[in-house]
Amino acid sequence: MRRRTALVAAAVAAIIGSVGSGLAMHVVAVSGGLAMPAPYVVPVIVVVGTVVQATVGAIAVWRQPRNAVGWCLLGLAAANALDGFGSGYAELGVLVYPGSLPGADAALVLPAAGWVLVYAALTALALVFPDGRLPSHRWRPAAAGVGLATLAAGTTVALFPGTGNPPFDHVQNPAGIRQLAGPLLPLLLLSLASLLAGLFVGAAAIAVRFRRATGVERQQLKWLAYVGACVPFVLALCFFSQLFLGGLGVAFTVAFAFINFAIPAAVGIAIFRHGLYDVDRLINRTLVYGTLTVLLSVAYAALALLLGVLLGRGSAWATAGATLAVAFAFRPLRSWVQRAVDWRFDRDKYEALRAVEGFLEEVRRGSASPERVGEVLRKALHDPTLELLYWLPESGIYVHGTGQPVSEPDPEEPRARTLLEHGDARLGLLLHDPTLLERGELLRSTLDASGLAVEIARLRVEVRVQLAAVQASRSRIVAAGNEERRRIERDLHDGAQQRLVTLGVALRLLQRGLDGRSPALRAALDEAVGEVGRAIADLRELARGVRPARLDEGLAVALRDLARRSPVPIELDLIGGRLPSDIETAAYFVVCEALTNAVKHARASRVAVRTARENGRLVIQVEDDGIGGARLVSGSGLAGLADRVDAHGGRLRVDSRSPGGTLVEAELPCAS
Amino acid sequence: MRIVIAEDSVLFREGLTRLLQDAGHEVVARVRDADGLLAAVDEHTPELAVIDVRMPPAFDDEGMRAAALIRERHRSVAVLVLSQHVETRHAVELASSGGFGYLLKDRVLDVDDFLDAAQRVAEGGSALDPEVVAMLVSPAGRKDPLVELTPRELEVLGLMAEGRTNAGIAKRLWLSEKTVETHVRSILGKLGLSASEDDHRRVLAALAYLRARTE
Repeated sequence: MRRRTALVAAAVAAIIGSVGSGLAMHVVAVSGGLAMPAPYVVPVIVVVGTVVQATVGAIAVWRQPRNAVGWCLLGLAAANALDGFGSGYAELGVLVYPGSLPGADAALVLPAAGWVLVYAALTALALVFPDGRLPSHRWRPAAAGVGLATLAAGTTVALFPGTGNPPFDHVQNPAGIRQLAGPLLPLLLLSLASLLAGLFVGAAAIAVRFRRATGVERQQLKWLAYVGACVPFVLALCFFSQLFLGGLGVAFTVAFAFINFAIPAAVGIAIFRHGLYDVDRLINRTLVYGTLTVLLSVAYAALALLLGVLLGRGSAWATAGATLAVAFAFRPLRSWVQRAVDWRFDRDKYEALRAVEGFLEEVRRGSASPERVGEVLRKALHDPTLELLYWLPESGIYVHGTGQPVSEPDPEEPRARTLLEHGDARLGLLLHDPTLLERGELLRSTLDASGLAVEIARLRVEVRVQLAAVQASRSRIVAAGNEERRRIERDLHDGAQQRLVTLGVALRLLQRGLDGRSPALRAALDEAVGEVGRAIADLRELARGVRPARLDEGLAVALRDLARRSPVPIELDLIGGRLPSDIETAAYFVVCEALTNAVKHARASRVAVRTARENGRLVIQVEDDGIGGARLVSGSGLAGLADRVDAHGGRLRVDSRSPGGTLVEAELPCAS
Repeated sequence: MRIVIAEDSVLFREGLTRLLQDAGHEVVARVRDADGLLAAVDEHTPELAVIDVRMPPAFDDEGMRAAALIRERHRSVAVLVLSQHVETRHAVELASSGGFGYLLKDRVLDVDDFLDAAQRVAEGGSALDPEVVAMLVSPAGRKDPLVELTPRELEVLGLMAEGRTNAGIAKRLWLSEKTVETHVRSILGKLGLSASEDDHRRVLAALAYLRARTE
């Protein structure tokens, strides 16, 4: 382990050292008078590209030592380093300061050999990517052939007598054997052709692998295939631009830089699996914007030409018109191309987006509730296990669409989690089938499209949850109030009232002790006991107003007692049975307040009180034949009653025609 | 007679004891909770137990439950329950089987009436607080047979339900016992109850009838 780390470190150091010193020598050579156009562009690309390749390769070897992919990248870096070092050494020792460096002309072989090795390393990478092994044992002859071609090409390049590429076109290869020029030439051409063919073999290996790969491996291959497929396009684009910009050098440089950086980057992403699933999106966007660019360019050219013919060649109006048209066409064309690409290359995504868009339209029209978004996603993504959880930032928890909090995450949970965000704000969490992760682009664009609905649904769920919390707290407050009333009622009975009774008994005992003496005192004591009795009666009345003790025996008993004490006749039609204590208390006070209203304000001569049970609700009706005119204005007893009923999740209605009596109707939930 | 008192307030307990003793009764035990009461009744088998509804530890309806238990275990022990407020649960039911009384505590201040009620209960009769009776005799609808009673008859029925004998009712209403007897027969007739000669029995029949109405 340690030895391998040391070996890799040494290799990286050697590679970076050689390529760096090659650049240094190149700089000295240029400052010493070496004339070439854009002297630093290519060498800098080589150096930076080499460093990137060596670094990614070293990390790959360090993380996955058995995987040959890392070694292939290191090989690619080494080949580039040979090229860079050889070029710099030869420039300095052959062109600028002849004779200053030993074997300077022999160093010219290095760049040539380096190029052979670059091909070999790229082919090897394509053959063993991503697991470090050949696709199957049937590929062994092909791999051997590539090795053989590399060896042959390297040897013939080294031994072939000839001059170098510019600026070395006047320097003879010092290792070249003049006598072998004739026989070596076909061998050289053959081996170079084989190397080129090797690249196609590598491409074929990737294609074969891709067809049978699933899951992660498929995504890994997509990365390399994507970069590989881009190379010819980049080259074509460069040549095309060269027609306008002039100079083959620029095209070459761009393509060269692309190959140098994009390949290690793609390999790195694939091997380290960081952002692995972005490739679908990347491919999709590339297709969309590539097509869009071509279409817009053609449209621009055609329009410019047409307008030029109409308005006269060179007219600024032609250019402006074409630009404007293209600018206007951009957005509709883009969404059209996007659909076309999705339809052609990603039918699932196309249909998922259609489903989400249809849903959003329904939400806009008001014919669908945003909370259905989870259901829509389940269908659009073909994942029946999918579940959408909403994030409540204030309480810091996830809840289901019903507002029910999500319990602790199940460690056995087999579903994958995808966070839903809008800007920086967290919206929710999607639990879904993990295989959806392999369809990153489908998942992400569907979620992006449904983001608005998710956000609206989240807000609605949040409001509902908060409302439920407020309602719960309000009914807790009311319940606490009821409990407090019960306590006060008890305190009155067991405290003050008990003392008064005791006092009365004491007075009676005193009176009995008089034994017929002082009749005046006896009368006074009778008076005093009578007063005590009235005080007790008052106290009992007070306690009843706070909370009638008879409520303990049920609503019907308490209401019958209430009716008996009423100054106007009351017709009762009551249901028996018990209900939750808070509901009975609320119902009792509804009748109490309505009766007070009927007697005090409506001058009623008859009142009917009815209770009934309908669909899990207690319905209380108090109807009088008074003058009517009762209203639910704030501050009135009836409004206080409405609040009380509301706190229990009920409803109070006052129907008061003037004249014609008043109907107070309350509904209280009483699921039991 | 021999009496057991169960009451957690010391002052009221003492006052009650003296009232009963002054009237010539023997208070054989004074306790402050239901457990003590049951033990004292087992030990002394008194003729009457005077019981407070709310007693330690929970101050709920321990007294009432203990009363029911005593009536079940010792048919010979009559029970008079005292309460700070009207609570009819079980009270009417117990009263209609005799040997049971239920009164508000402040009825004690009307000493003679209270002693009379205690005596009645101990003899197998009943005593129900007027507050409870008022509930029982209020007509519950147009079809209620009580509607057919005259106001005077309703009054008499109420006093019957309180447990009073014909003599007690006569004294109360300043009527002759004979007039009361006439009213009582008329009431029993209108309600369809058999006319027993025994005062207590008639009272209990009337109570049972009234109780059945409210259920």
